[in-house]
Amino acid sequence: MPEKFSWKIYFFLAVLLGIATASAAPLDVKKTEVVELFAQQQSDYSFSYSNFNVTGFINITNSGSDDLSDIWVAINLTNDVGGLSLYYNGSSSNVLITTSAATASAATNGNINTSANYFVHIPLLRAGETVSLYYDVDDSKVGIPILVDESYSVSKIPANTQQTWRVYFNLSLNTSALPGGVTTVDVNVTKYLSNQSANFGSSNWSTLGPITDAATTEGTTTIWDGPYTGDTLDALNVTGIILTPTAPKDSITFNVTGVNTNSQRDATLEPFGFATIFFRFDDGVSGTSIVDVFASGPATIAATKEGPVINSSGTWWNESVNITNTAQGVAYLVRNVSLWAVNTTTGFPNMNAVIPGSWHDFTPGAQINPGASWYSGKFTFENSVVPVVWANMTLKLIKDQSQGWWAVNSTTQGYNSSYGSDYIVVEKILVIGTYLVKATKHVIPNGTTADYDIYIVVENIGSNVTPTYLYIYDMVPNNFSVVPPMGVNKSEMLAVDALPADDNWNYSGKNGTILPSAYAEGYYWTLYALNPGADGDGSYTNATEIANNQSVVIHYQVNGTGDFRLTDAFIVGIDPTFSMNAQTTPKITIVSGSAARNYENLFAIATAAVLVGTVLQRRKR
Amino acid sequence: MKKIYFSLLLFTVILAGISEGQFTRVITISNYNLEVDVGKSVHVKNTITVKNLINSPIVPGIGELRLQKRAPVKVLFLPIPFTEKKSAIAVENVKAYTEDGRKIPVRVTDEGDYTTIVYEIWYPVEPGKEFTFVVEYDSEELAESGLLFRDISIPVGSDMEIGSISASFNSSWKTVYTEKTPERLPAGGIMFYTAEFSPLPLPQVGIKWSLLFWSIILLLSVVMFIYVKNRRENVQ
Repeated sequence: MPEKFSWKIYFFLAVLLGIATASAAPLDVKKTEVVELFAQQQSDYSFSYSNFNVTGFINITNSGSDDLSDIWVAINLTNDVGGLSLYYNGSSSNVLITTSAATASAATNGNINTSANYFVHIPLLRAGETVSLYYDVDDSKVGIPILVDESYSVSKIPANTQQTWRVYFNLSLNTSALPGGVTTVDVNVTKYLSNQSANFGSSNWSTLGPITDAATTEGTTTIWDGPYTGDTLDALNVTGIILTPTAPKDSITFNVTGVNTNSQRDATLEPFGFATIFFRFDDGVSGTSIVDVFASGPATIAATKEGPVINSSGTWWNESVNITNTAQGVAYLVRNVSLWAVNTTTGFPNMNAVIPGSWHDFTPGAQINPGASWYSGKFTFENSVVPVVWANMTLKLIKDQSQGWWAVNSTTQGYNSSYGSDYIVVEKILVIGTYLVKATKHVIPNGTTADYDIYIVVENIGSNVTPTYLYIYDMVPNNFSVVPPMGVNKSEMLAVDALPADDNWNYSGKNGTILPSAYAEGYYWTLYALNPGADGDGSYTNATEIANNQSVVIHYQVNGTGDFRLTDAFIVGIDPTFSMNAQTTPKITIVSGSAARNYENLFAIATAAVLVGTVLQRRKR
Repeated sequence: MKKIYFSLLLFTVILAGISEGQFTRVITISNYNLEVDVGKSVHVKNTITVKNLINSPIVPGIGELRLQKRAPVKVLFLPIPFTEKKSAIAVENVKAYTEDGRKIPVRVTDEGDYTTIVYEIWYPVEPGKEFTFVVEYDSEELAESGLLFRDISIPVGSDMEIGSISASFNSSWKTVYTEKTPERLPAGGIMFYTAEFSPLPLPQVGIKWSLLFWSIILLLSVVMFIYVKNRRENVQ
């Protein structure tokens, strides 16, 4: 029995199946493969998948009103680990699991498809009873059916200020992992905000929520009061998502507002909740199939003898067999009927003394519905003494959704007693505990053809002052030339001035040798520390923020000539660790040098001293 | 690993303040190769490959190679055990260039007790791609020479993980001692590449010959001294 499943889950599954099978076939064979997955966001906002686990359950339930007997289920397990095991026996008999096709074939008189590797025999399954089986799927041989990716409108947020970011949560079918016949996948998503560490949140969120402006490309959204923040409107349901192999994606978007009190200097991934995914599609991911089912139920068989009719040719008897379906709700196929007579002897008849001409075999294949009969017709044979007429039969429950057996294959999410689904996606966002710099570049035509104003707005939208020096990088595309003056507002914030004597050029350094081919010049500015608290709107006219050293505006003009490409001008660089932009790296610092030690000289002096002492000792002698 | 942490303590000062961004890796040093030609002057060639880990092009920008010498305090020419002096390292013939030979601007600054080689890479690295550059320099202060042996111990540390790191030494003298080192270096860690050279044809025995050789000589001298002293006392 798989350790991960408790009896509570079994009970839940049984109840669930009981509900689900209320309108199922009389003999309902339901194969469900449940998928567990834990997806967790990484610092680059990709997801790492873990705890991927697929387990198959086969529930054989008598959903009708007739007791069924001699049930054989042929199952072909594929990509399994450890074979098929009994999970729960709610029948009125033992349950046999065998891999012997010969045994199953003999027991059913050849009336079961033996193209399977497991055969389950349930001698008696009364109305309402269930037998459950399970198998573990080799997870390395199957794929994750539904993939997720998530991004945000910001790459990171500052701590200690209220922030709102838009979440772009995408679901997509991993079509290569789905069985070929799947046409639709029904999906529901529940997204919870959480500031509880026990529920995939962080206690660093002093406020979290509400969720606003939710939208989805499939299904409908409902924002509601969830249980994991103590605030309202902190959960989101997205229901009625239908994904298909030809339309395999759904995009869910919503805004989240929160304040994080993270005081770490480094950027920290802060979990802000999780999403549970519920899904279902027909067929399983492992390839396991229910090959065939054999079962019988209430019926009568009547062997009839008439006679004798004595004439000149002998003493003649008539024999016949009549089979009646006495069940209330199941139908059978009449298979393998035999009719014969033996002579009476003292005591029990000699069964080997079959009267010549009395044996008749039938394989009619006729279906008899409840209350209906199959009659063999009369057969005549000659015997001088009173015979005993015998008949036997094999009935096989038909394959039918209303009067027989029916197999239903599906795949769904695993069950989690806390969250409903064990297909869980944990969401995180980078929080900068100190400063956070945002650089915005404006390229604005200044009214003259091919002349453009460049404004680079550097803002500290974090909660702490930046380090002493802040590097800003920019590149000028080919066929553009910088038209002075190049200024920094305010100029006192420029820590290093490459040309201090020239007020028309205010930058800290430039380089024109190691640039990408599309660029002619690269400039950088070394700025003094920026104070926190800028609003991050990228405005180059916010005099208050400039006066407070919360933002700095770098301005210059470029003039394009020839075959210039304005789109190449939209580039700006800043240390991305604590910035909203990711065009440049943190400064790479490598430490090296020397730590060599050599004490030879010291040893030599000590040795020389001892030798001198030796010589002196010898001379004293 | 113990060596790394011990070394980290030693070089805490020049590492201080450069460990920002460990949690948000946007770039990593995927390969670092150190080639050291040891003579009276030591030539060091650092071949560094950085890799872009994010889905946007990035520009390495300004980087630093900080050099510091840790050596025992010397009285005249004698090193005093259990002492240490930190100092900048005089370097010359400093140059940096890309893998395909394009020159990288570089300058050297004296920061008091360490030297900084500042280089500037303005070439964007595409998402998932690598960029290799070389920083070379010469210095007469890297090796410590005695009478028969020459020792070198070059630390390498970084504020970001080095995925693969290796070093090789070349010398006209015979290499009589080298230390094994890990093949990768975690962010904030430092490892030492240590080797000893001698004109004597000595085999590598796992410890420094300068210590072993002179310990034996000194021991023999002491035995001889004791023998002579005892013999003199017996005669008397």
